[in-house]
Amino acid sequence: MADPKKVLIIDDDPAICDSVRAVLESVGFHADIAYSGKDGVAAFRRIKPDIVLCDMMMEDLDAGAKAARLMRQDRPTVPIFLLSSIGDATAETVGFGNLGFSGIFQKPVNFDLLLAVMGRLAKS
Amino acid sequence: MPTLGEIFDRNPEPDAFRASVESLNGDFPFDTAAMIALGEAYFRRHPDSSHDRDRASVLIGYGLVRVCAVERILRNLSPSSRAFFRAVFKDPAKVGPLAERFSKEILSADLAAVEAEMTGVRQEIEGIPKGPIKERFVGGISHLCTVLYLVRMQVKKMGGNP
Repeated sequence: MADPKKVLIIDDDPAICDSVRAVLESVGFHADIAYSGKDGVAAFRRIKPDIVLCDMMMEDLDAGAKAARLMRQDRPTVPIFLLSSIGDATAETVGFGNLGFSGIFQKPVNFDLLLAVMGRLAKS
Repeated sequence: MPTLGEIFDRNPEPDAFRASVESLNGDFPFDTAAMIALGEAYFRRHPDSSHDRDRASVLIGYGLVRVCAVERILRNLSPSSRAFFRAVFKDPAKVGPLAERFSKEILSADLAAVEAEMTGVRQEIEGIPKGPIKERFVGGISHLCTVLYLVRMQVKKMGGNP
């Protein structure tokens, strides 16, 4: 990847942030981290990432959705993916589009799938 | 043998719980019932609700799950391989540098053994009813699964067959 794409990881679990960042950087992405929805929105405005990976339950149960809505208002076309341990349930009951997400990845994340999606986005 | 729930009731502080579980060398019940019992014991001490989610308590929950899962999935490895996986679970950025100490054959075989154990753990977690206990277990193992993916990537780089 000649021009590393910037990814913002928003998750209140530092261990998850570290391991996801290690995977992304091993395949050529540049990854930044925020530990709350509020900090994530601030980082989004400061860093201007190409892709966002965001948890749902952080300082509030719906902190991820609140953050996604604010990020969407700023830059409507940026892909924002929900990475959540309740991802499947969220998709079934609410629908990720209604929450401002481009897609949902259930934890533990299938990285073969996630990296394939991100790779396509990085080329586009 | 005490259950994980009983161990937590007697050792609710994370470091004490870790030490107690690690002393068992992975030899403890870790089926769905044991997971639910541990979760119930944890939530008695760290109650959660839809309007009150305390980050520190959540991270303690993930930590308890990780202690148990790590002991379980590493139980059949050599001491040096256990040390490797413990180190990379703690700091995923060390996968590359630390993996160089192993041959691709050994790392590949160890990874296969650990992933087989993790598959068993995940099957037991699937049996937990949807709710906060399941969320802590899923969130807890997610980091471990991501690190195992990193190790698999490393084995591929070394020319092995993960």
